[in-house]
Amino acid sequence: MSAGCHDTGGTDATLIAAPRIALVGAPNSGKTSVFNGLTGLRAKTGNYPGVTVSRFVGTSRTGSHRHVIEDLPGTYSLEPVSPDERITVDVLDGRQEGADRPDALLVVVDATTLRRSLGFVAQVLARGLPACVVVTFTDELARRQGRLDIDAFAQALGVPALPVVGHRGLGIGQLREQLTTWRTWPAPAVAPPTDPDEREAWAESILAFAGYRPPERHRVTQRVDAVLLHPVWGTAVFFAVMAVFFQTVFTVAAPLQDWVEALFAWLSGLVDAHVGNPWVSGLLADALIAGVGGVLVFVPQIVLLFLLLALLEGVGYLARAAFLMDRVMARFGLEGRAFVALLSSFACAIPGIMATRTLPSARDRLATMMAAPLMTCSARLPVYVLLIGLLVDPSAKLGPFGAQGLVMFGLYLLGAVSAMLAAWVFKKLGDRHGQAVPFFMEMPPYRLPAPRAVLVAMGSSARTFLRKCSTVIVATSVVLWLLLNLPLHSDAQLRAAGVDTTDSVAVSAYTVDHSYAADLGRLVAPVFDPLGFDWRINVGVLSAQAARETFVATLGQVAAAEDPEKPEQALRTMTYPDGPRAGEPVFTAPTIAALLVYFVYALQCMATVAVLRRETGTWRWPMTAFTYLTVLAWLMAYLARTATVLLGG
Amino acid sequence: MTASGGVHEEAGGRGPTVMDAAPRSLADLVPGARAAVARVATDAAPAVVRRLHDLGFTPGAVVEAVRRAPLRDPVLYRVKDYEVCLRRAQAACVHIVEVER
Amino acid sequence: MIPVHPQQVPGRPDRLRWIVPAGTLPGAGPLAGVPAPLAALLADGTLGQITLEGEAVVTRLGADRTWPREGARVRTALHAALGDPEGWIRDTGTAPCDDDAQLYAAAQEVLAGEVGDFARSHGGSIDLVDVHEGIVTVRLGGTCHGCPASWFTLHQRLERRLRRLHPGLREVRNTGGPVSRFGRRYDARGVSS
Repeated sequence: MSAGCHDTGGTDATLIAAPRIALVGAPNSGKTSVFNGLTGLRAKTGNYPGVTVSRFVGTSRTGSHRHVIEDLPGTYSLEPVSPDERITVDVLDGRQEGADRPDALLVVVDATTLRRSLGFVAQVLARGLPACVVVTFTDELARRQGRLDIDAFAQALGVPALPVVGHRGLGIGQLREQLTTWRTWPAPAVAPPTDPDEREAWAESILAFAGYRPPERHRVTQRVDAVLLHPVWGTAVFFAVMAVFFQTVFTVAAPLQDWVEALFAWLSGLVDAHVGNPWVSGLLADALIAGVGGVLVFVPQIVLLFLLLALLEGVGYLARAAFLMDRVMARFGLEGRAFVALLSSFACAIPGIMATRTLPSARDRLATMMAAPLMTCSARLPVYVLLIGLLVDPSAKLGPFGAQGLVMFGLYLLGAVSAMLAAWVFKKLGDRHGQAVPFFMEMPPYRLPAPRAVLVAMGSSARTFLRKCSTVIVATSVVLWLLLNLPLHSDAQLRAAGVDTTDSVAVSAYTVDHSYAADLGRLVAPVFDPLGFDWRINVGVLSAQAARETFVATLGQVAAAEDPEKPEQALRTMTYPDGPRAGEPVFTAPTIAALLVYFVYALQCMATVAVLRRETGTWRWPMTAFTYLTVLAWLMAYLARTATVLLGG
Repeated sequence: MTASGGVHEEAGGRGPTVMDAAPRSLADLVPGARAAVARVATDAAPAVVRRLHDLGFTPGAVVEAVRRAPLRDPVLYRVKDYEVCLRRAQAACVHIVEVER
Repeated sequence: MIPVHPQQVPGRPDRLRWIVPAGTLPGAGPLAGVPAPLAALLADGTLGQITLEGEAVVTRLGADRTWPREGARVRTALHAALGDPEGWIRDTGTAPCDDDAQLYAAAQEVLAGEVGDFARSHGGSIDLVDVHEGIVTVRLGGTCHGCPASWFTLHQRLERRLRRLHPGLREVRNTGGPVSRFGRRYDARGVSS
């Protein structure tokens, strides 16, 4: 349909390497839905070497033609102000390591913001690569009484132009056809001007020729914003939305999580019943199945979180939330959009870290990622519940509030405040190098997100979580199980040690007591001794290094509790077996306080480490996070212990 | 397209009076008011100047302050048919000429 | 600054049509004088010729020049020249009687180009029948024939484009009848503009 695109009789693309086509455009231009439309769900994600910028590459097929499509980071300009935008420019200029210069470009522009976007189109066309302009949101332009003659637009630009309504898949077929003729796309005889005034005149002339009438203001957006961005009502609605958000994440996910747990318990039981060899059944049931279950139990919650985030993003509310929170975040050197990432981290740091992709500044992104693990995630809850139960009498009250609840609230608060301070420090450290990216945020009109687009966004996030995390967690669970169960002890050895071999609790207690893990626990004893931890707590802390919630079960095992899931009783009576404190109870107030604070700070989640590695593209940042959080955890735990002792605990 | 002359009457009107001094940068623009961009301050950081240009704050462009966030910062502006929010620090780099109320 | 953008002239790679807003320049036709910045480009051989169409300035390159090399200079000079409307002097020596011939050439160009493409892309065709005293007559064929909607669209596009190239256009008409055998009578003259 576009003027000036001539049929060429077709070159045989199968014989030559697939041409590389890059998508460029502003962040909200609908670029991603065009990319998804062209490549289906076969996109590969990765990182540009050495930077925290995700890279998306996929393939588009049209008959015998195959095109490699690369979705370049969204940018408002080819004069970059952030590392992400620099990537786009470097790829276009063939200077980006690991990415070949594209053969042709698809320039994605939002029809409703054409007046602003043409400056960017001018910059891209001036680069001289074969280009085709993809005009998105033409349906919205028409709905809001705007107008654009695409053919005249193409004629004026001197390059092909096509309308595509990405989220509904309209025009994708024509775009694929258009790709096959990229070698013969017309190019402007004279590159668009670079002088700002001349460029302005050029853009105005093109819009006039194409009969462009800008869209009228979106009335719904104006009315809704009058409430949602109102100083009083807007703030009230904001807190209501956040409350509903977390209610949904926790309450709706809870029964689903129970089902997953029940399923894996049943599977473990099945293995126990049918596998004769206790060692094999232990490895299968306790290590593999429990490991996979340990990951999958968080999937309902995480998928739900991703779904809600995709929904809020699609509707346009996340931009509003960021607008409302920006002033608060600015105090910590961050911007409004970082709020959403930190908020998600209350459920799980992984979606939080993945949500930092929306931050245009790489420094803000890093600072937020370094802070996200400090937000109290749901895996800490069972640990807190267990330890607070040991520390505080359930009937104790402070005014109208239960003391247990207050301690829990205090821990959440401690995590959140520490996260903000950590973000502030990392932002300061980052800002020493060069100038900061200025803050700006486009406020899109409210849109009804296409269900497919929301599902695609949710699905790809959930897949990333599963693929990257399951392997790490399963591997660590297996290693942990082996450490806790090796070396093997024959029945004769057990009897010689005075263990009743018919009492499985006693056997497992003896096994754990003499396992490599116990050796490790004793080995690190000097480190944790100042915190009041004995070797059994050390084993628990070490096992929690893979995933926090395993602390409860491991402690149950080492304390030889009747029910490893509910070890309170056994723990209360636990005493130091040796050393200067031999015979004294282990779980005193100072030790519990130290342990709680240790869990507030320590990065005990291999999945988070894996996602940090994935999102930053290097091992440097996960290692930094791990180191600083572990050191901080130790220091703060020591402080907490000392303070509790001084307070006479 | 009224010139800003009529707004000058209360000289030095930085106080709580309704009639402010004629706004000279975007940061002074009250919600609902419109103005045309005169230029982007050249003493601002180059990245800020470039980005403000890219976002549509080019000389002659008509800008409307739409609304402020509850804590007065950032401010939502309408320019070139779309809405974008800036912090006051950056908005102060955009000098404006004429005001229409 | 006056809004300007260049467009290629189909089949004439040495020419560019710089689209300017209607009413910026006086009428159509050859020029006896242009403002100094453009005159300098004619003098140094960058440009071979400058003519006016209704809403465009048509520039022809000098010998051995290319648009990628000279385009930016021509554009800057054009911007400067457009700021001086008094400097554009029409060549009144040329008889305006050739108007129908010019209009015929313009109509041919438009039909060969984008408006024709549009009709063909919808399985139809559009042919030039006649040009007389500023009235252009065309004939729709294929799927477009007898379809009022397609006539409405084509008529709008054709008239808009044609008026841009030739402000003397009075009307575009559709004939249901066969293409006149004399329809191409201006062809033989080899109109140059």
